[in-house]
Amino acid sequence: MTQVASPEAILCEFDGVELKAGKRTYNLERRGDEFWVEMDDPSSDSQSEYRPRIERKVVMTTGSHHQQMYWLGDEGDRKVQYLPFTYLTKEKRWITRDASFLSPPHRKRTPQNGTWNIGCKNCHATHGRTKLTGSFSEYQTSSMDTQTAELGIACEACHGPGQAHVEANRDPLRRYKLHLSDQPDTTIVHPGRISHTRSSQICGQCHSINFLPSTDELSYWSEHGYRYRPGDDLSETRFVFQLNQNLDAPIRAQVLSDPAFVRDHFWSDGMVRVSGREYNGLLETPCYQRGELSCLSCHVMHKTDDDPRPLVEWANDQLNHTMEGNGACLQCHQQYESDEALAAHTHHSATSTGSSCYNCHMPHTTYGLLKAIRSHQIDIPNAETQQLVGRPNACNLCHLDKTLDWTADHLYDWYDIQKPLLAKDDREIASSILWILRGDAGQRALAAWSMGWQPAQQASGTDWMAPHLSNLLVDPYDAVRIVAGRTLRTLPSFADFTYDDAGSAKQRNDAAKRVVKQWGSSRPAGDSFRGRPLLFDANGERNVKEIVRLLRKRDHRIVHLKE
Amino acid sequence: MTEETADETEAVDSKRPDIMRRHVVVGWWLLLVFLTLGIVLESLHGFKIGWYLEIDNETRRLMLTLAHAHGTLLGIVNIVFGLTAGMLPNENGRLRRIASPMLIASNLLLPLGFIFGGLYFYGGDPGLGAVILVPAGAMFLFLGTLLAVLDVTMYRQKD
Repeated sequence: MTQVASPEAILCEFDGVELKAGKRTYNLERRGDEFWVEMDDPSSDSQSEYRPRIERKVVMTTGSHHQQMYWLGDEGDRKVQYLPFTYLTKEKRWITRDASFLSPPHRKRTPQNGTWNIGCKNCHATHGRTKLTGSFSEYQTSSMDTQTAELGIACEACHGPGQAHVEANRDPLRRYKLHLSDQPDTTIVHPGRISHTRSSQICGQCHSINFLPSTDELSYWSEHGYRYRPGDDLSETRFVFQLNQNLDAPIRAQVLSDPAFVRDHFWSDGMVRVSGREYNGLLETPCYQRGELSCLSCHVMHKTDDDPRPLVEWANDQLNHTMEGNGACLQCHQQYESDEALAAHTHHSATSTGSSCYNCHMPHTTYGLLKAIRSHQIDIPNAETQQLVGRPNACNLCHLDKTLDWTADHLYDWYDIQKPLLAKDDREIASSILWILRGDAGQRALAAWSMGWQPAQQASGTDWMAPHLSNLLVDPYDAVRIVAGRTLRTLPSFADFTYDDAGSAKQRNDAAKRVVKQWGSSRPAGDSFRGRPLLFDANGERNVKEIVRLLRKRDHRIVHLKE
Repeated sequence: MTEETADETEAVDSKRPDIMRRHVVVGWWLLLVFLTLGIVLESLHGFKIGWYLEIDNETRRLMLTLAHAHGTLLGIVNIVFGLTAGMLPNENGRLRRIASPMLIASNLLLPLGFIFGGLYFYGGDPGLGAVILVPAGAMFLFLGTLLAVLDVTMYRQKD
């Protein structure tokens, strides 16, 4: 969410920090309760290395759980520009803003004036209105008088406009009449008291891939904000893009005129693959389509009194504390409530992570915020889908040391899911290694993250992972390297491994070699990881020939996941 | 003084120790009970009891604090009223006799109303105890105080 930049909101050590992006230097300074950045003048046309220097005040921040970024004001103008760096709150370090997204390595964006005004405020503030004077194509040079009802996602974002509610409830008789009855207050929207579809649309107004239904709406939107109000039918004022639905919608052609649109948001079968678009997943879910599943089936927007978790922990996913286990699914699928029935269904011990409904039916196949996130399209593991679409299946995201053939065999034996005809590599080599070596950047990021996921480490063992992760320390995508470096430090004997994901190519190469050497000198005896699936020979040495072969088959298509 | 006035004076005189004693006793008991409530509330603070301290229980905290404050102050008011009744001469004793039950009523209604208003509440609104009992108690307190003011004032005017 967005906040005014204040000592309470800013999470990083700010004063005296020097940040470099290429040849540009940014000096951060705290002056009392104000935060300033001294930097090259971005509006200067000078091609010289020495551009004029200016100072900009940090006026707002966005983010707090995982990352924080900073917005710079411009005197006399209400447009804000982002500081091209992101602060990682847990690791307490800075990365470039480009590195915080899974974006192509050649694509280095210059901070644009007005980005927050046009885009970010739509979801990171409440009832934002751009108020652009000029055309959208020239927004960087047009002036804006952007307004919001509140910074951040405030009450009215979910409950609708509150003025009538406040005025009506000044009357104490009205208030006590409502207190003593079960009747809803008609002057405000209660997301828990409306249908599951309308309730989910409240979240979907931001947590979806959506567009204004026509460009004619742009002017209205710029001046007055979105027409949608909580409780309305979202589809009346916004087009939520689904790859395989609403094929006749006029806006589709315009959206699909961008050839990269589908690639940047979806797996090829239409399942969304970027974070923050959970409503798209929900729309495709049978539990929502045929049942009454809604966002509020699992999530709570206000921490409940009986929730024993600290506020910070609840705020991470805003999951109801009773839904951390299988409770969410057992609300409807009560036939799996007993340990015996659960184990019979999952073919895993009832107390193991293999019996967690989430792990099989909502695996970590969406990406965002430098991590893998659970898909919100409730689905079943399927080997054929992985082969055709490339999306990792739930089984192999935990059993990282197993092949797709192994998974297909079990799915057939346990659930009668027809085994597809698999390619040789899929039959013989562990899926996670195939993702790392020949997958696209999105698959590599998911693989790297999964190797640091504790249930997967427990199921797969970790003594074989380091040399494979070393391939990702030299990955061309910044985000993949960051995720791989983090995962590496979760492995035994690598907790203190020093690696600069932003270092030079030589430094990264050297780091990768150090990993292999360190792994070689500390690898355990025994044959737990030897053999073709993990690309180690009988002596426990890496099968370099196979590794090179697979690297040559890497999917180099451009991936730019639009979180 | 006429015989009738002397009889009336004797009747009021015989009631004056009752009023005085009643309010002095009630006052000290109120002090004891509601100072004890104060100790209990402090303990809830000390042991960080969520039922009292959690952010969603602000209305409860306010109501119980008000119960403690009003109960304690009413104790002092009663003691003062009792001592005043003992100090004043027997003329206008009728005002004291009417004021006394009003103060007794407010002793019950005000602090109990705040307590009930805090035990069960509706978000930012106190429970019905506060809504019904407290205004009634406030009204009796006001009337009782008004009568006491008239009582004392008329005594000064007489001098």
